[in-house]
Amino acid sequence: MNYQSWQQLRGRIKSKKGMWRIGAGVESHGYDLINELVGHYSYMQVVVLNATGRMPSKGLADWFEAVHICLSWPDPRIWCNRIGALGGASGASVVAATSAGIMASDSRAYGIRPIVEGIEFIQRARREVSAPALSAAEFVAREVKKHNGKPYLMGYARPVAKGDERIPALERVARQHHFETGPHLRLAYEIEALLSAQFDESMNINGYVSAFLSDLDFSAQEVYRIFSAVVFSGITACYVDTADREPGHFAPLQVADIEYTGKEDRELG
Amino acid sequence: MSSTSANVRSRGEKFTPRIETKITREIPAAHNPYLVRQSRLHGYDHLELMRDHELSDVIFLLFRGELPDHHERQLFRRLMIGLINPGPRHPATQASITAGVGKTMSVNVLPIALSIFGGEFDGAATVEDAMRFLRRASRKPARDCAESDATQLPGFGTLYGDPDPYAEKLLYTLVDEQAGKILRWAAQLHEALRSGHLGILKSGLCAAVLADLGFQPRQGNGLMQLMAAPGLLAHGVEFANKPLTSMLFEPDDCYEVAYACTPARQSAEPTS
Repeated sequence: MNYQSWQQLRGRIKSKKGMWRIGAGVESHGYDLINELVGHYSYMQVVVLNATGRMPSKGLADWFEAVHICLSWPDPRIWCNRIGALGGASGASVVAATSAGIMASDSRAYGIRPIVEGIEFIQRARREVSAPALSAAEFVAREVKKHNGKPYLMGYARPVAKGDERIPALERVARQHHFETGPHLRLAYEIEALLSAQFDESMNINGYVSAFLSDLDFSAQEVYRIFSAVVFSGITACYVDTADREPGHFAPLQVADIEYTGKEDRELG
Repeated sequence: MSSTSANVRSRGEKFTPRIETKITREIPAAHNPYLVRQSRLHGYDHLELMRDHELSDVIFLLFRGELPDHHERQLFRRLMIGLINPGPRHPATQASITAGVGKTMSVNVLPIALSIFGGEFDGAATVEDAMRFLRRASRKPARDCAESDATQLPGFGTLYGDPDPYAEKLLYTLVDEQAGKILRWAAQLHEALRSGHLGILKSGLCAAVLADLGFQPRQGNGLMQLMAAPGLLAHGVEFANKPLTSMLFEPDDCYEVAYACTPARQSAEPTS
């Protein structure tokens, strides 16, 4: 019999997180959610607790919240926000449109999913540069060569613009809460200086967040899970902007706005 | 230390003002440039397709750019029916049922179910990888592949600890004398994996047929979701008018909590 492990779960819930004991209370990671968490911890502390099983300090939770604010731009040209705006103009529900935009942020190239690769990159960089034979400059040269001479290291460069105004903001929040610059972040700055000198490219928010949280021993999957809905508020803003208009009143396209490049007209045989 | 990234400048990239497509050609109505008076799919009149063709033919056309020939039509239609209903125990159907009985907005039920069907466990997540694998590996004898690290072959493996007998039945329902090279090779690999207690999975079956029919790997995951959509939705809607007590809700004595960390209360930051 090869299905024993499923048998043990049939008709049963086994949880490492907690449960609602009806009439007795709600337990979350050993805390009484209603009496110990509500009013005593911030929402963001509970978000991190639920995603990782560990309770962050209020200061770190404030820093996580600041990252969420940094990803809450109400500009519908940003692709996941555009989905929210299209949902509003289409008369979809705010939940459907916001959820759809969040799903769009689960992208191979942009949004939150690349944080996994960002954290893996800076942690690998730290291991390799810690080895006596490899300098940061040599590491960067090798990585750039892997990308055919382009500075497309995960956590560096950015689409649409050069630079990233969100990093100084997050640095400010980190200073407010007395977080020190750890070895991953120091290396991230060193890599940035090299790329800046050679390619005029700087760190992006992925690179900064990856290095900052690597210094605090977070894993890539933990960070991906904490930030699973990091873009939601900007999407909701863009939804609201268009939902309160006449239907279809967002970026309408005339028939002539589509360029058809396919087969000529043909008849069915 | 701080970043040098504060200086933000546009890259000045030129984004297209017009969307380009090879699929749909619309002809505008004379009185309103936003309305359509004719629509053509890959050159064919949409209304003519409605009159003369099966739904699966037009799906094939949308993705492949051509209508299927007789053999392609039969194979694609059979695959679509084969994968149309993951069944009430599938996690995606369970999600659909839970949404249905939870009185979730009806337009959300299918997206919810399809999102869960996008997973790797008996779902659509690995069709793309399986198509790439099959296109590459089928140039060599299947037995060679079975002797390598067979537990890592996308589209092949076990379900609930054993080879999936229903995926095997679907495979042999689809394999006939006209089966394409990749599907025949997938059947050979399935046989070769038998001694290692592995077999074809539904995602592998879907991948083999789609690869033989000339679909691109990037289309694979979504096409398998599309094929499963009717069964997923039907089960969810079936529960839309049922009472909340018709959903699973395990009693407290069947619920165990065992925290991963001891003590349960862990700090997220290093203590040093």
